[in-house]
Amino acid sequence: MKKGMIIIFICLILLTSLVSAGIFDAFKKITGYASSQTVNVSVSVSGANPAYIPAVSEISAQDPTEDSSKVIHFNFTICDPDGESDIDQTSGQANFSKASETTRYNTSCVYEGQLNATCGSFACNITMWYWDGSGTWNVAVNGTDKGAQTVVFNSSTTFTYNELRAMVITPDNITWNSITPGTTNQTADNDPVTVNNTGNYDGTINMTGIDLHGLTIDTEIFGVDNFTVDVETGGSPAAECDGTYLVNDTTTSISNTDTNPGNLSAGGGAGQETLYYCIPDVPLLSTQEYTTSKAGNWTITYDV
Amino acid sequence: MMYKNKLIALTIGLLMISLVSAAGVSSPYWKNNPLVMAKGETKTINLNLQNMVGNNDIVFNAELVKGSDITSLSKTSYAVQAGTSDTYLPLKVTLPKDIKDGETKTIRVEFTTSSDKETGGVGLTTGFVVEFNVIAEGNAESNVNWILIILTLLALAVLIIILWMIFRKRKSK
Repeated sequence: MKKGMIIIFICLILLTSLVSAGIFDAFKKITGYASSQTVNVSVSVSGANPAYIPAVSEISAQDPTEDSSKVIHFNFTICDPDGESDIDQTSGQANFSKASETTRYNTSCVYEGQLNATCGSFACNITMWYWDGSGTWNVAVNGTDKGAQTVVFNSSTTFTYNELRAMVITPDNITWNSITPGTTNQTADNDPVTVNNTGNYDGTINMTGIDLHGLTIDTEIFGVDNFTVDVETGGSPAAECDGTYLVNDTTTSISNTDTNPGNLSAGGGAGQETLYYCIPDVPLLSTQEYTTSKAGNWTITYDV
Repeated sequence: MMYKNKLIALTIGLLMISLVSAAGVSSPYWKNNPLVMAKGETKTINLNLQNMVGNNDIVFNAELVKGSDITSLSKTSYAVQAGTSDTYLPLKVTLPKDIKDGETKTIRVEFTTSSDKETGGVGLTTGFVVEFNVIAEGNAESNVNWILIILTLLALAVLIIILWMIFRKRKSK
């Protein structure tokens, strides 16, 4: 009996600590529930599975554009087992990379839309430049989903950026306005000739010279083997006067040249080579004008 | 003839009308990027001729210097308008069937450019060389449609079985 009284007493204490309402509160409509009010609730349901990128469209070999950029378009598919709606449509990114080259990016590929219940497609444009190196470039794309928010990658694709041999030469003629037969080390009046590399060829420069003919007496020839070409100038005698001698109608490699592919707008010699011309020993010829207009211009080419 | 102490004028400055010569040629194959083809295979390679700098239309004169046994030029002169990069020179390359595996052929096309502009003195022009190797590897895929052959053989086999069964049935009667 005493034991039962103790249990009832403990129960009363517990009930007292859990319920603060008095016996008459029931009539005051205190129910123990929260007070009623209108609440706007937004629920976003995201899947726990990460997305994956099953495919990147093939990119055909691309020709660089002379002295300009080239926009390369492609797209990739991204899928999420939790449904297409779980794909983060702002997450598409891509880049092109190659060893020793500047990586080209697009950090905001455009979501093209739904492909099926679980997949969608991103469209990407990446700009390549004329000086970007020829060869195989790696294509890497990534994206994510709203649920797992795991960034997923695909770098299984490559493409070929072709070799562009392009140049702008300025000026396109060289002159010696008046030189005296028998004199030495006569440098051109209007050099250097600047060879701007408006492509991505990386190598050296060749020149094919052709004998000059007299404008009045065209049978008289000023041999091209009297001319030297050099990348250096200045000093006494002028540095270009010990340059590479040209050979008639023969492709000759000009020593120490470098096409130096790069951004011409950056200045500092990127993408440029300069050529200086000299006649080390002026031959004994009659007084008249000599020109290439009879037999053909000299041709500047890149080495193979 | 007058020689010593007389002037030789190599050019006259007034003839210097134009100042820039520009052009470009892009190729999908080059020295370090050879074309690998099967024996007996034919492929068309497009060389891209560009004239993006300056205002002068130019003419590319092409000469096939190496590789005439596996390719040819359909024409040797290509006019390219200023500001364009969409002119192509197609090279149809065909490797002989009897070439050895791994054997290499070389194609070399040389371009010179010319325009209608006038230059004085020593005129300079741009030239380009496209050279690449063609390496023979394996045989070209046969044109024989094996699926069609197998299906035909299966159909024939079924027909023979049906005829044999009919013949056997009649014989048993």
